[in-house]
Amino acid sequence: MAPIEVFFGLIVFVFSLIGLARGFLKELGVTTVMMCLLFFLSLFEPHLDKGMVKVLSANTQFVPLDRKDELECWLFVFVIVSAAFVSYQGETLAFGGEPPRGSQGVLLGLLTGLLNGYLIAGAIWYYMDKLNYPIAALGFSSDKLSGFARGLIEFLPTNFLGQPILFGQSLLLYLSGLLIMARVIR
Amino acid sequence: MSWNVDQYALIGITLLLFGFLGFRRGANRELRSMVGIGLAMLLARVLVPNLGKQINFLHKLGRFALAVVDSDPSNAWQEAQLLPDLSQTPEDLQFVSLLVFLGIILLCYLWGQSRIAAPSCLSLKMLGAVAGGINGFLVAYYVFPILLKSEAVIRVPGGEINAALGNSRTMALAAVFAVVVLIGLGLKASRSPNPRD
Repeated sequence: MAPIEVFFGLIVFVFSLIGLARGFLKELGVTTVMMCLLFFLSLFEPHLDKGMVKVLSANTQFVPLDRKDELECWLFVFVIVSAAFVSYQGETLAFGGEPPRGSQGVLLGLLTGLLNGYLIAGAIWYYMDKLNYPIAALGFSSDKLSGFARGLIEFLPTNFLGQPILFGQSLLLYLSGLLIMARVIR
Repeated sequence: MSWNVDQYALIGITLLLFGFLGFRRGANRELRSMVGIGLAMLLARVLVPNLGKQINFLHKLGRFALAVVDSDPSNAWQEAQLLPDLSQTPEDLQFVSLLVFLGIILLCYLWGQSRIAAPSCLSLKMLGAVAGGINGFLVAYYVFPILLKSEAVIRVPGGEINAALGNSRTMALAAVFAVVVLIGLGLKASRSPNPRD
């Protein structure tokens, strides 16, 4: 299995190519959804953890409690991938208008695609890291991480953009608000 | 005699200077410069550490070429071989990486200046100022740790500056401003769906 930073780096690269093909305005719709999703996940994550313990404690005959982290990780991956799929499918969330043309359009599409790739792949990596890489089938583990990969963990979206900046609220909230405002004004 | 300069004042002056440049140049040019700065950081960090041997070899080759005009080639080559290496210490390599970094940025700025249209309205200028500020942050983030190691007449607290720039919150704020510029510029450049706008 390739190192985790190569694996997620490739995903980000693919998303940047998708951004290049789809154009800036469609990609910005995906950014809005992903930013809001990450904000809500960061808010509800502690409650979800408690809820999972309660549910699994009551149903130990179906799923043992020691598989809680794996189940939680699958749930996060499922939610993030589903949100990404929904926001990429169709045009309902895309910003209206005609995207910029020429080299500017290419650059903006590429950068926004890169940002979306970072948000999607980074969020999945964040939850895998937080739950200590419970999905064994993927072959990642915290012991095998390189120094570079360990250094990148600080910059994963929920760690990096989840820091409280103003009035104790995270940057994710402000960015989500800004994107929603832009969408409404548009 | 020496002067002590507050780290925030120095960072502030850098951001203001680049912000002013950005205001004059506009968001379209600054966005390309931002990409150029990212590439320059990557190239200077990845390529330069492996260039030490090549730099020394090219330096000796150059000196040999100059010397061979006046003396016979074997003597000239021996003299060139005895010359000390141009790049010996990690600090020398860091200096080379700084030159590569600044060279690429200068090229990007000049390319943008000549090939991309000047800002046509105030909003593009304002976005350019924000993008310029981010560019200033990126340049300071790379350049200050290398430049502010040695003692000087104007004493600047290199450690504090590097800590302030390398702070995760500062970097997150810079990233957010970059996203804001990206969104603003993209929406400005797109045609509105509403024909009245």
